Amino acid sequence: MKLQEIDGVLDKMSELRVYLDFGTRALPLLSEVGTFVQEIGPVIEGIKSLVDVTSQKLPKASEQLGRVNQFSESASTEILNTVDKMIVTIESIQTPGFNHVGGDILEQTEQRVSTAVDLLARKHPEDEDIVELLNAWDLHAQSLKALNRVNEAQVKLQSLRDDCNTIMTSLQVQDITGQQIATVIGLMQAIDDVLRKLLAQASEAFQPAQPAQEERQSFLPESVGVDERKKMVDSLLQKARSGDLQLQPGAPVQQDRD
Amino acid sequence: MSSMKILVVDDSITIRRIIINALKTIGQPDVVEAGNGKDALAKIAGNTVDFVITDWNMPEMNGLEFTKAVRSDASTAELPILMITTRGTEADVIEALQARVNSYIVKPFTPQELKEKMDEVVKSAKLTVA
Repeated sequence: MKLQEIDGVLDKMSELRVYLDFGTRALPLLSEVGTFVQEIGPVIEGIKSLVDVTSQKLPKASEQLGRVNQFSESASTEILNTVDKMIVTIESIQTPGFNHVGGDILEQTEQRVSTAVDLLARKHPEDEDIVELLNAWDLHAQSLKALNRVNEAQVKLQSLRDDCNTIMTSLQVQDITGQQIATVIGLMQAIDDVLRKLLAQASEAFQPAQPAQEERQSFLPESVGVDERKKMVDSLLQKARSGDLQLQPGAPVQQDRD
Repeated sequence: MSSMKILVVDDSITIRRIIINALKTIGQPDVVEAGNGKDALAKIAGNTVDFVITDWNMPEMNGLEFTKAVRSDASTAELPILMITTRGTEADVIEALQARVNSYIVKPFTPQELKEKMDEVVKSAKLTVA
């Protein structure tokens, strides 16, 4: 064998040794990768089954929330119908433009006139006109008592009418909670979409999916801090009217509403 | 406040009934209704409406879009608009004012509150006209 050929063989052997060295170092890494793939497999399977279960439960939960909304709206409508009937009945009994004033003054006047008529009748018992006046006054006193009872009834009717207004005001809560529930349903559906995409992509390369763009509203219960919010609204309206609020007509407001 | 023809716009029938009852309580029984902004614009075109009460969140055309549409038409640009809504953040109120609603109420409201706000709007509209 010539020297050149021996050198060539030695070069090849060196190259081979490099490859063998690389192989020796790569083997543990490949072994780790293999172990990782073996370990991650069950985890991915676990995630897939979790996503599977969740994607079945979420639509059910959305459906139940939807039914809650539906039932509360039906109940509110029933209450409204009943209150409407009550209002119609009350208004049919109420005296239009009734204004119960001067009850005390009326009583005092009645007392004074009654005393005066009695005195007159005692002083002139034989006077037929005065006797007639006494009888007429007695009848009048009875009418006043009946009128008083009617007045009291009118006051009570007005109180009932006010109570009906209070019930109506309270029923607004149904609309407020209904919107909150609708927002939650929307979010659950968005999560469901994401999970379904994850499920579809789980066997391929995992790419985090973007959540669906939903109009976000505050999740704070709307009944919390109602008075404070109304004060804030009134303050802003006041400033707008006095020109103290810088408004750009038509421009959207860039603020986080949460 | 003299008697007016009032357009009530809300996608909730319950809320429309509540508003109509409140209007009746304060002596304003003449009402037309609409379930969204698009229907409301049609009602304005077909009726002589003196005052509008509108919700914000509605399908097809929400209250804000409806307000902007009303303001962009010369024949209805000065129509008084009161927004009654569940939206109660400062950003919401400012956005509504920028769209040129005349006043704003956060639900829940009482008939008395409705009357006070309507009185304010009518008074300031008269001052503007004067």
